[in-house]
Amino acid sequence: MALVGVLLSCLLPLGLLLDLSWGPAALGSPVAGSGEISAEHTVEAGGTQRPWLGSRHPLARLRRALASPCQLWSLTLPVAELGLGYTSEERVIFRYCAGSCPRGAHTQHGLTLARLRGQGRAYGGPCCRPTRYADVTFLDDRHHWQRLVQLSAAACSCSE
Amino acid sequence: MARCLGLALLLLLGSASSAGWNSCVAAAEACTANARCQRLRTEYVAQCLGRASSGGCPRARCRRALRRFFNRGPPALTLALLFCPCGDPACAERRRQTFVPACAFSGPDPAPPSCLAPLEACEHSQLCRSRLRAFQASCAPTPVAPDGCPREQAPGCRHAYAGLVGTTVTPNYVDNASARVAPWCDCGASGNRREECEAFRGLFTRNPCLDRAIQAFESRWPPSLQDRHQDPEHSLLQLLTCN
Repeated sequence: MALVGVLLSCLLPLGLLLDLSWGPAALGSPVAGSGEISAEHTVEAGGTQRPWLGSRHPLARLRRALASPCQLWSLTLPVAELGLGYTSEERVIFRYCAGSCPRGAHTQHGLTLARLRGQGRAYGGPCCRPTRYADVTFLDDRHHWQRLVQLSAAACSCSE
Repeated sequence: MARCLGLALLLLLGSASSAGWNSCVAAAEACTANARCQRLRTEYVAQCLGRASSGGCPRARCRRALRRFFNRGPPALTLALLFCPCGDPACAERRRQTFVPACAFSGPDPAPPSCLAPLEACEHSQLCRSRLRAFQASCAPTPVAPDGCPREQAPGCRHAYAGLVGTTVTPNYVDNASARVAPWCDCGASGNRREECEAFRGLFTRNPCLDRAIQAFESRWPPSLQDRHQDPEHSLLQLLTCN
């Protein structure tokens, strides 16, 4: 139905704007201004709010996620989908870190490791990880409050 | 535009899950979606679920965090959590539990104290005293209006009621079957000050202005929230005409 198509194209940008997930294949949306400035490494948050209006396809989003720099992503999930055994009518926001890390190193450890990797004597690469976490709270099915301490990421950084 | 977003949000939230959804769940999710509201809400839940050295919950810290929630949180979202309209016990129970009443509302003893005790404590606190005065003024029935309270007074009354949450005279819903509210106290052991006690309790239990203000919160929700079986095309047209 044409109206449904219009509804989807109207609500999708709104849904992403409001950080709501859209279907099980959604990877969530990036959180603006999530570049973490830490002692070891500065993540460039350039292009955090990429325009999503162009592509809705999950594969296109996956490609874009892997291509984008290390940043904080946000998913809205029903509590049951956290996979921790809780049940609630509420949906909560779960944030995680993903993205590519530049190969440049900022510590002596990083410099040596990068050299060894270049020589094929060490494996892997810097990876995007949370540097801070936040609690998630909700009222469960039995109307008891639950607090999941440090469940969600709050800031990301590339670490070696 | 904000109304369009609000409508869209409610439409999205409403269509997401059918079982167990109610306006109080929607209010919780709307708060979660707002960074400031979420942070303040998580903060008071964390405080109110904590353990005090004496064994119970850290009541003072819990109440302080609750006051911060209502002081600093976006009013549209915080008041929605407090006044979400309910038609079934599950919704009403959620509404009753919303500010962790086991810590913030119920006292350390299993039985409620005489109302004179929290009232006196309130009079001795500058913050509580001013909040109580504001509540008494904002939710006072006026002789002019027929059922005791002009309509335009409702938002101020609700705001003043929310200002009492986190004080020594914190009120809450008494059960999950109605929208009746009361502080955690009774007038059983009030001796010769029974009238004074009943008058204070009556501010919550026999106040048509307050009742009306709480009921009136219903009408501020867009129609798509109250009627989830509305014709989807009609809702869509409402959405599209926002722009």
